[in-house]
Amino acid sequence: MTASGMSRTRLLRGRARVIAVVASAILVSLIVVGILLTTVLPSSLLSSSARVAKAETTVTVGDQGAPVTVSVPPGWVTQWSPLQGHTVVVTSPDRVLTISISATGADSARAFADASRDAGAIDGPLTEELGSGLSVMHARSGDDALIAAVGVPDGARSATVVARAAAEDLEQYLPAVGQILDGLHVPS
Amino acid sequence: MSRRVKIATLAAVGLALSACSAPAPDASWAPPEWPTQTLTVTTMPAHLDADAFSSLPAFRLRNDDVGVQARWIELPGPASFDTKVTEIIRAFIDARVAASGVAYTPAAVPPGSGLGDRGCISGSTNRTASDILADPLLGPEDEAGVAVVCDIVVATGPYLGQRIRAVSSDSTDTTVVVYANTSTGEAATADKLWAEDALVALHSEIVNLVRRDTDSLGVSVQPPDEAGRALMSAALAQTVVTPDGTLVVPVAAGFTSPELRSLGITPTTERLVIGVPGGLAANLLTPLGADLLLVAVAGGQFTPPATVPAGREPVDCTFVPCVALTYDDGPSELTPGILDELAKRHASATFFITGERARFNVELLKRTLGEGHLVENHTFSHPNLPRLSPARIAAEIEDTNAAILAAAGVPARVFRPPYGEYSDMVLQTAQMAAILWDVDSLDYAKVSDDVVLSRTVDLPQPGSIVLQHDIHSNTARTAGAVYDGLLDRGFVLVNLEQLFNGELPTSGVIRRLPSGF
Repeated sequence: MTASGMSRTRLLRGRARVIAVVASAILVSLIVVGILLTTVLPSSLLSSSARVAKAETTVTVGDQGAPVTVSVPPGWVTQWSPLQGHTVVVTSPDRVLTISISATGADSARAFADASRDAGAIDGPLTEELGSGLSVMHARSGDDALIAAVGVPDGARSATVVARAAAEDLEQYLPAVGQILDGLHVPS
Repeated sequence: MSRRVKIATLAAVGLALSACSAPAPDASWAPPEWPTQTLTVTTMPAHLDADAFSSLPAFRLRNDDVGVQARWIELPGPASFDTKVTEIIRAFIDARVAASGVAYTPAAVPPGSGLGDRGCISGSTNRTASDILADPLLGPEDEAGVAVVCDIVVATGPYLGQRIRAVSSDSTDTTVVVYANTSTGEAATADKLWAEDALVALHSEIVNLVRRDTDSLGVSVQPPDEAGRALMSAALAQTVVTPDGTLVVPVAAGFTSPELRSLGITPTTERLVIGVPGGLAANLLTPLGADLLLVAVAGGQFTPPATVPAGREPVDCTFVPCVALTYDDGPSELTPGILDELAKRHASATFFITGERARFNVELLKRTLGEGHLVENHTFSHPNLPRLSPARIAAEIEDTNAAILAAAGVPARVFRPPYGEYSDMVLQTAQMAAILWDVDSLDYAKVSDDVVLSRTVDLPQPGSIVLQHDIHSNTARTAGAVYDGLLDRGFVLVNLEQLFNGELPTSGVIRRLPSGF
């Protein structure tokens, strides 16, 4: 190999190193941005949308033509994420219980099955009729969560509900979950 | 962009994000609890001893044509409680009439039937339906028809509560509690203790009570359907208020709701006795219910209204079999004994007196009237009126009216012509209704006591007017036995005013209460 050939080779290797460093930097930046988008930013955006209900308040979620409505008791916090338009999160005034309510286009059995799959192993579900006339299928998921799907019996739409609290608190907060379930309205 | 600008921008964004953090937790907030921790499943409170209320007017009715036997108690004197109670019993009988197709008219039963024993039999409302129907003291003849039984369940302060239960051989079984406030005169069935929204509220509470044993997340409850409302309404109508401030509501078998059915909970198969604590009930009671609760908790002694002479009690002789005993030609030394026997049985009669005797028996006449009996005109000297001139007839009637008014302070309103003899002239001159009889005891014919007794007890029919004389010793001797015999047949012993529902006839000739009166 001639001297000029060696010099050219070095030049090429240097450029490749620069490209690799730049590519790595871009990749790391993308990962950081991704993490920000999926963690910090949504919570920041949720926090920025948090509203404390001064009185019993009705909020809607999902398809504007046939929305799910949620009756939020006074003192509860309602939070929205523009990245998850079919979901509203309500939190008890003491922030111990968080309930995520999503509008779905599936019937409640299908919606419950989907939510159960996402949550992993859960107990056998219980189906019952609520005072609102809606049917709810619900089950515990581990010690700290309860999953439910609410809809008109034999209806095409439903709402999935995921309630979370510390394992030692969830049992005590079940009446509050029932109160939120009672205040749901799901179109048929 | 300079380094300083970049740092400032980042600081501003950070400050903005921190300013947008979630609202602070409210540490004072406590999560809600499941509703209905307050209702209890309990047992029916014990009934009260009926013997403690023996001073209250007691009734028993048996009609074998329709197929009915009924027992109940009333309050002394005119009382809306009595009206309410008899309305309820009549409704039970009307249902039986509709089922049997036999029209109801008051009926007496054969001698020896034992209907002198009247009023509530303690604990009878708690017995099984078949037991009630099979008991000759309670059930209809041959167990076919309806039995109406009663218990006193509340007696405190001015309040009296009577539970009335109708059991029918066609399997209907209905219970209602009627309350009286003897102080205000108010009377109402137990459902009137509850405000309008209590039915739905208590239905909801019971649903929650039942489903709390499951993993249900339900809180609210749909309003009951028509069957549910009927069940709850019937339950509220049986409410018993206890001294510990609990309102006991027995809910019949069949209680259910869509919420319970969806959980696989079948309708109740047995009576569910619910205890509603006073604290919970407070917002669901009417003023009447709230007052009763207050009085029940205070635990005061029952204060019955003052007793009223039997002759001043309103009696509906189209409902119960009545017989009007009449005594002619007195008063005499035998009259006080007859009055004593009547008083012992809280019974009333009518005395047709002569003017001659009235003048010398003023105190006795006052006693007779004071004890609620009627004193009416039997002429002055007991003549055969059709044989007299109009002037003499008028004198006989008017002098006697004056003697009665002078002695007793009240005017006579009807008369009885001596020997039952009258004419158009007599009626025209007397200007009063002539009261005769359809049963003659023949006591004046010197017959034996047994004959007087059998004729006077065996012959009357509902609405009969019986002729006796309080100047004959056989009548005086048999008086108590006659009354017992008539009571034994189910009769209510009334005076003529009671027989005619408070309105004595003003003209004509009357031999008995006309059928269809």
